[in-house]
Amino acid sequence: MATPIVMPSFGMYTAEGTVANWVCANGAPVKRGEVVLEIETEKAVNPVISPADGILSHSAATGAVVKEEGLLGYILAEGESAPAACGAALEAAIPGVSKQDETAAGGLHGGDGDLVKASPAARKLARQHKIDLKTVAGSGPGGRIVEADIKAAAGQERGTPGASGSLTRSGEGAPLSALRRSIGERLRRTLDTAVSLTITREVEAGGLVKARKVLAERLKVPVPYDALFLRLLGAALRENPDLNVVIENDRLRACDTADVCFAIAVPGGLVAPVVRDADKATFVEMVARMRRLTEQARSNSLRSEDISGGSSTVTNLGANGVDVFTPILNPPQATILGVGRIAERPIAKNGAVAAVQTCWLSLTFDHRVTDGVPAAKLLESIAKRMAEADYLCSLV
Amino acid sequence: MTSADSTLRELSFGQAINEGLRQEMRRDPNVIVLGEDIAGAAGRAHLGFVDAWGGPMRATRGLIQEFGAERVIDTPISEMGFVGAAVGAAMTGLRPVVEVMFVDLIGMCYDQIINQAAKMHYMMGGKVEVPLVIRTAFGTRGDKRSYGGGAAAHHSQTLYSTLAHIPGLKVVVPSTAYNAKGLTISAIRDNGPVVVLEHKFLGLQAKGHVPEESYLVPIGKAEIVRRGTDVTLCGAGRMVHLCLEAADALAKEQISAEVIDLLTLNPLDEETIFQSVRQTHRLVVVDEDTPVCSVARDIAARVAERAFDYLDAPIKTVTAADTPVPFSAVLEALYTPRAEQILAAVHEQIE
Amino acid sequence: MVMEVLPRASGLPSAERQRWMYERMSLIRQFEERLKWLVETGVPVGPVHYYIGQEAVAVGVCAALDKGDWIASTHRGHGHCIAKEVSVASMMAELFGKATGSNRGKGGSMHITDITKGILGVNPINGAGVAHAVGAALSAKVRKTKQVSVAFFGEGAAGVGTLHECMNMAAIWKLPVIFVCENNGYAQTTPFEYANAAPNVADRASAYRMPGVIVDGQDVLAVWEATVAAVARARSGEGPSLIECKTYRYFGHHQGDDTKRYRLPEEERAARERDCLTLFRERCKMQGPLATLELDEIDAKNKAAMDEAVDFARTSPLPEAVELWTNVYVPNGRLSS
Repeated sequence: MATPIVMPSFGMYTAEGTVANWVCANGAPVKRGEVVLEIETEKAVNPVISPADGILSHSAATGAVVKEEGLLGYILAEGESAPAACGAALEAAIPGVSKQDETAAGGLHGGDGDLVKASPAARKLARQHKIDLKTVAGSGPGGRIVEADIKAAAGQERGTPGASGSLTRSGEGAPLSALRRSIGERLRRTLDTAVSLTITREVEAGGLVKARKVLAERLKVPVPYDALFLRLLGAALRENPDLNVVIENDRLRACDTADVCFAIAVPGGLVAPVVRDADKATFVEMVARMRRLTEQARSNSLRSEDISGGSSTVTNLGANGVDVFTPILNPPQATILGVGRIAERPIAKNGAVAAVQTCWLSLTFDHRVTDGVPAAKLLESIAKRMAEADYLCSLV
Repeated sequence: MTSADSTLRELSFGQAINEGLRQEMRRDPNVIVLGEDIAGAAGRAHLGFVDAWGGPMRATRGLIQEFGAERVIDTPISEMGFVGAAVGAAMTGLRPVVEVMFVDLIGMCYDQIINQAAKMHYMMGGKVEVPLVIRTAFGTRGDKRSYGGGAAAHHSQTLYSTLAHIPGLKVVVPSTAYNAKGLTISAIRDNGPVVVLEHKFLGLQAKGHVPEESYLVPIGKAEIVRRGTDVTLCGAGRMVHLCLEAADALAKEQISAEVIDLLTLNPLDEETIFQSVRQTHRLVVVDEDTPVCSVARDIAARVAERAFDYLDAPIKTVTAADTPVPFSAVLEALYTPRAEQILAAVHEQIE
Repeated sequence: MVMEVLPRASGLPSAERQRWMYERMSLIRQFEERLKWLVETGVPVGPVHYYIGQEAVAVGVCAALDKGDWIASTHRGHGHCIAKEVSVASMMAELFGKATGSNRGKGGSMHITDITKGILGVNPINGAGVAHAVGAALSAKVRKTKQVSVAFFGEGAAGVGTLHECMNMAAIWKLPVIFVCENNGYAQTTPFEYANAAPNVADRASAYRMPGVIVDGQDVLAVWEATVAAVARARSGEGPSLIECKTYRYFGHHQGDDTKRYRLPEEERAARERDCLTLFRERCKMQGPLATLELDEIDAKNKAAMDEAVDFARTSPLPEAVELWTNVYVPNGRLSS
């Protein structure tokens, strides 16, 4: 019966050893207690003895690393052959832990780009209600979305319009929603820091209206007024470089490019993505870009680089029937152009009153950075170009 | 890491520590080593016996021949006495490296470490420095054996949480031959007390390329030893190798695990952990120590506090069982963390 | 420095007692040699420390104790346990990590215990057991039983602070404890003469005003004699004693320790020439009370007992996984079983 030669333990620290040398040859007759091989461990070269009389059979080769309880060889009877490889398996099954079935791992990452801060409770609830966290404003510390915000959002989505879902008619009234509160706080901060002043000017818009049609036909895409105003403002900033600046912590920084933002209303608020080089980018590209940005804004997939930068903003309430307003600066920008309604208005010209298409422009500027006259000059640049039909129609 | 290049020399864990000690002792005559049987056969050079053991892990082998019995000192079994003496020597110009044979014996000299070595610089208003290194062995085996037993309750513990807990005491845990040499050298050059915990059973996992020249592995810096995107696994000592084993298994399931080797428990490199969790959003901390007041739970608390918003799942810890270390091999295998526990933790985090 | 000498016991132990002594020494020798064989042929028992060569110390001391007396042992504790009549089958099963082991597989070689046999434990933390023995003596004193306790320690532990604290306390409180130092010359590889300022451990006794004697540890009767006197002193309320037994361990500190790296071969040879079993046999041959045949029979019976013990260990079941978690705390209201 084959007797296995098993790797002994050589005390502490050694869980394994290397077969250094077979003292007795494979097939040699050996006696019980005789040293048959040497094992090298970190500490020393250790002798290993034969457990029985018989014929030595090597299993582990010289140089092999063997763990304690590992098989080194066998002592066989005459004519006996060594057992098959798994004969000396001494492994006992250690009770394992059953693997959990993987359910579909829906997105192992959070969305790339912006981190949405939300508590685990909020996330869980949002998952249950299939609410995209990016559409929720957080009322928790640091703007973190907490469970209550999701509950509120869920209430809104069920069809109760806007804030009325949480309005009560009697008693103390409903508190501001988290979203409105955060918008309010942001705006208040701006107003507290900047010294805002709005100047207005009525500009003839006939050329603009015509150009829009012409461009749309030529470029074969719808052309929003905003695209034209972006170009106008960009070019005007180029001509008035003292206003093409940003101000942060009382430090002025001149901008090398005329990057202009445009405001888009989205559920829950306003975003203002930026279009780079609004003064000289290819117009058709600008239009395409704006369309893309608008889609992204509406589907809440704007990335942070889309909404950072820019030295001025165009905000258009004209489509909603507003003529003149006082837009609030978009920090750290020093100017913001509000565009009002394009409509026929009675204009006196050469003593007679005529119906002319005009548009009111409302420019808010930061008085820390500049004064009324330079700001007026900026409006002047815009107005001049708006009157140049050729300029507008030849935009490419 | 083994290399196919046969000219890259590979050292074992113990050999790497030996080299680190040796090079520092050559560089600085104030470095001395002391402990029980760190040479062996003390006082018997005249009979031809010297360096009988060179330390239980052979980490101090050959040092007494090169540096003499004045700098390589075998001690009686007097932990409180000789660790305390090492503190005094460190305060007065030497840079001792003292060995406490097993971390389980730390109780015999705990006062000298936590009350004296760790606090001296602070209590004396910064006017006293204790550039002391304490080397000690820890850990259980982790391989499956079918019967018999291990080193049992008094020779298998990890206990490093009781050391990392102490302000003023740095605690490092090498995991490979490369970082063992580098951390040993860093510990000796550090001007304050550093405990170096050397795992008893790293074996071949730790063997690898070690440059011949002296080099530092910085204290207080963790290392990302495997990049991944879906979950962060972190551990120290043998647990790093366990995490890598788990990461291999996870890769087969298309789960990409990032593995962090903590290397220093105190001061902990939080930033590396936070950065990793920011990317992966999941954390499993693997610790060979028992769970209550452990390093694993400390890390979990820090991440929960400071990287809360990056988490997509609760932080999981995989630790030893909350029991003394049992002797019987089959029980010890259940006591110590296992790869399947790490896998189960990750599966729970990824639904 | 005056070393008090204990009064010599009158006479020799009875033939019955001597028979017991031989039987125990022989069993220890066989257990350890069998264990060594098992270790060297691959049984993974964890770190073990053979008592081979020192049998007369454990047996000589325990022969002078009553069943109710306590001992505290060291990492090299198999001899002490067998001397206190712990079942070798349960010890072997413990080493095999089986559920039927003396510690149910949870302690191993370095923690083997049978509290019902008066053993406070085998303990690898140097000096820890000594404090426990002192505590047992304190307990006996408070409860007014007539028990005594024996604190075994190696000469290496003489450097541990606990020893000094314990000897001082035992002396000031006159506790019924006997400190037995087994001086086998080496603490791992560190020689006694290097690590100890005084040439004998027994020299320290006078510092604590207790009697200290040096005994030939290879002579079981000499050990017995000294212990009888110390026990009488302790039981009568006169306080502790220190007995230093000069002895020798034939093999290394633990398995895998190569003694050629720190011990001269002639020293090892000389030690084996004073083998305690051989000395006992020779004395019996010359003056009895036991015939050689009787001694051979005892050896044969012990061999059979060892065969049975190994068989028992091999075939015993492993502990269940749940045992990892049991006995961490004691349930309130009763002793945990």
